[in-house]
Amino acid sequence: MKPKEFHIYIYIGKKALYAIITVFAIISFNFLLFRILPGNPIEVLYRGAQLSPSAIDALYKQFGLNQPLWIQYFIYIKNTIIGNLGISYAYQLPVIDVLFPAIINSLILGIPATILGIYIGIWTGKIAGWKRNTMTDNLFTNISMILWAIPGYWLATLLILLIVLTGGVLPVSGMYTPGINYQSFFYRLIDLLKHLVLPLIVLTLLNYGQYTILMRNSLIDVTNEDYIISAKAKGVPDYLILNKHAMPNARLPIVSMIAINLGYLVGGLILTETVFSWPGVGWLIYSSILSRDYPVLQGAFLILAISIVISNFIADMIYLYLDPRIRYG
Amino acid sequence: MKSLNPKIPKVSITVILTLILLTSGFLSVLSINLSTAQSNNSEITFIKGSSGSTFVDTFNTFKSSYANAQTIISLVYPWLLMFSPDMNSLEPYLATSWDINLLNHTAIFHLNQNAKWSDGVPITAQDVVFSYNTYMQPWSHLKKWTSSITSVTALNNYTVKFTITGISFELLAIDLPIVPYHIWKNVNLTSYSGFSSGSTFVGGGPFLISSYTPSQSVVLVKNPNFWDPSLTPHVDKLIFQNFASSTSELAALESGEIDVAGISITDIPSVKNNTNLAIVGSPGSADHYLVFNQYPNGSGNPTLRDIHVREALAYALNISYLIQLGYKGYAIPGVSLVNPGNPFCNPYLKPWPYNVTLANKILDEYGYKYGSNGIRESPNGTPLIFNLWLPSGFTTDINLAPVMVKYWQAIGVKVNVQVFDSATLSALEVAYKHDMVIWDWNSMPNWPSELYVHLTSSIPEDNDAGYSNHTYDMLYNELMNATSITQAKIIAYEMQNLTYYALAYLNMYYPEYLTAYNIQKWTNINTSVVSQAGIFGFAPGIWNYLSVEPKTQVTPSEITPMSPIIIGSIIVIIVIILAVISYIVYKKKQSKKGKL
Repeated sequence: MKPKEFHIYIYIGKKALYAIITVFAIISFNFLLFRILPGNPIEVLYRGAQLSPSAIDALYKQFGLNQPLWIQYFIYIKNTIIGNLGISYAYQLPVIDVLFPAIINSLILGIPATILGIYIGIWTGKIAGWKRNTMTDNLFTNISMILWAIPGYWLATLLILLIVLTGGVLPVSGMYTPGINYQSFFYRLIDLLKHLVLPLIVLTLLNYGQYTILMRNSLIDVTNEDYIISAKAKGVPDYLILNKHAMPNARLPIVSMIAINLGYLVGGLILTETVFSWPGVGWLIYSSILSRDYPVLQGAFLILAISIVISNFIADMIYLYLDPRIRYG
Repeated sequence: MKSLNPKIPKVSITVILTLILLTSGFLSVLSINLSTAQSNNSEITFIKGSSGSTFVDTFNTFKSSYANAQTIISLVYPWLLMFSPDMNSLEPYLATSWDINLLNHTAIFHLNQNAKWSDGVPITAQDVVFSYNTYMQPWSHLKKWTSSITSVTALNNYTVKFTITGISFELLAIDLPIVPYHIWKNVNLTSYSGFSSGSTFVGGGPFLISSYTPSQSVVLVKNPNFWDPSLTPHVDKLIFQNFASSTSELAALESGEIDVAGISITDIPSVKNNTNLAIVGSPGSADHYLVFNQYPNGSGNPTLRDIHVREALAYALNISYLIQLGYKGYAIPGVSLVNPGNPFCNPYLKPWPYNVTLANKILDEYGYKYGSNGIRESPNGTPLIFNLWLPSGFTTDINLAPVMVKYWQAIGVKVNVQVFDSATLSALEVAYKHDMVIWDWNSMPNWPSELYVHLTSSIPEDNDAGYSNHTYDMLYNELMNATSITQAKIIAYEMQNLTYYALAYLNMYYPEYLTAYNIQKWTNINTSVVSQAGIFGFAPGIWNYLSVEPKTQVTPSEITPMSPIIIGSIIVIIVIILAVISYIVYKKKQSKKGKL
């Protein structure tokens, strides 16, 4: 094996090991986090229900809360490894049955919003960076800053208010209109798209600002490099300097940001999902915190943590590909 | 450094292309009328909203604890008898005639012989016996409702006999849902969810469960085989839709997505400005109380064990003003755990009056002198400094807490306010670490069931005051075995007397349950229905689900379906636009290459 290849394998192995250790630490922390808090979910769920002691005992047994903490921990670790995330206290269903549809729903909202955010962000950032210190730059940069700083729930609520005042041209909550027997998949898709419009707009607006600012700053750095001046001196047209010479290097920081942000697609949309009642992982986390639904919270945080760890791992691998300094040690 | 020539890109063709595509798609989506999506678009659908983390726990009537689930269960299974909307009389349902004889300790019910489950199987005494025997199991969440039942037997296929011990049978156990024995005998009763997607739901009420999406919605459809024409609903579909927050629930109500929703005090101005909506306040059933920790082994401030301190604290509060300030008048002052609309509420007790002079006089008289810091101290030197804890969800009470602090300041008492999440607060209360807490209990409209809270046996779980009185405990047993309403009322009054004067709680107020509904679309809603959860809540709410009907019938001819030709035309236009733009881009690139 060549020294260069060996170095790469060591690098990948190290990163993979760190990722596995991180996930295990998260699993353990996940378990402890919810149990060191005072109170227990049975008390919250059944306060005032006048349950008999037998009924309360049965609930403790049903959810395994009658066992000592360390036994609960080992059961939790064992079950997590085999993919059994337990039974939800609030829904009384297997956590995976509650979590899986929520993950899909979050991705349905998160993926287009992220793509649009990246696309618009890179485009506006590119123009702002290229035309720096002009009216266009000021306009794009300030709009991005404002949207990035605005609290998501405020923007969402404002949009909802606007829709309500204009007679409800779009649904303001949920993912589908409940109770409709769709004639075909086409109508189901249309219904989904109608519900998607508002949260998609909010998420895109909230997301794109960071890409604009990063893209702008990165491009300004690159355009100060000597090779850009040389290209200009050689008479290379501006659009080629921008697209062929400046942009490939300016995109590097964006790539890592995209990789890290992708990790938040699952579970990172709590405010938007809550305001629009979008049944994703964000809403699930919110309602599970209120009801102390430990198994669902553990499951959701586990998925969220794993997706962030994987995203970071992917970012490391992309850097390995893009940055020769890492490849050659 | 001089900036580079900003000639390009003046216009990004790809961005324009994307925007056109998005805009076209958006407009297409908007233009398509979803009412055409339904296979039967003449269906009348009524949608009730709810919000919060407790939507549906299970459809298993023996294990359900959530309000929405219990309301749904009440709509899909029959009960022996129904209470009238005002809860003052019993009306036939599954039983067409009955004889409740408290002197003989028996109750006999004759069942409707036409009653059938939705799968065509007759509803018989066997179903009733099975259901009640299951409710009486120790693990059942409704066992306490059947505490007055000794046994239940089938005299024949359509006659059921109960052996009972007290009047509470008539008030608590008469309207429990009956489930089909032929279905439920085959399931594990303690873990059965009551409904599973993909299998046909079998019920016997006016509605049947059609679909359930956890945390989002439950769709009920009219039972085509419902056997009681007098209780047949006017809507084809009933949807319970859950929202992540009350904000989005209100927005959905205002935009017409849902037809009825519970609202909060802060929503009132917005709802009142909407001419499509009406607000109905139902008699409050949630007792917002102030608990004083008087438990001898608790770690709260010991001065609260002195009744005179509790009296002074009670006199120092202007409850009427708090109601006006916080609840805009939509609350009723309370006197006990029994809500003021309940016939068992003691009418002779009056809310504690606001009297600062008297409060100060009591404290002076019993040796609580002012210390050098302006705070009173007990004769043995314990300062009257208390914690007031509230659960985080009690927004209005949290806002009122500083006002209460000022009231108590006027009598030389210092109070520190702290807000906790409900689980943490519950744990602290069970350990009796609190001084004062504001929380609530939901009480029943027709039976003083919440009086159990002050029982010695309720320490520590629910008896957060730590109040213990042997006489009170004895009276509770007598109440459960009372043989007439009059006797039960006398006992309940006496129990409330004891806790009122002992100030186990200061029962501050009962906020009204506010329901807003769309008056432009719906009519025949009985606004005087008595329920714990508004005019559409729990078993009494069934009356409104049965009576509600649209103001104007929606007919298929009123809906203009969007033809496939229009949809196709939109798609063709989008494709043409894309093709033209692509062509221009292509040409432009070609010409640039040529120049280079």
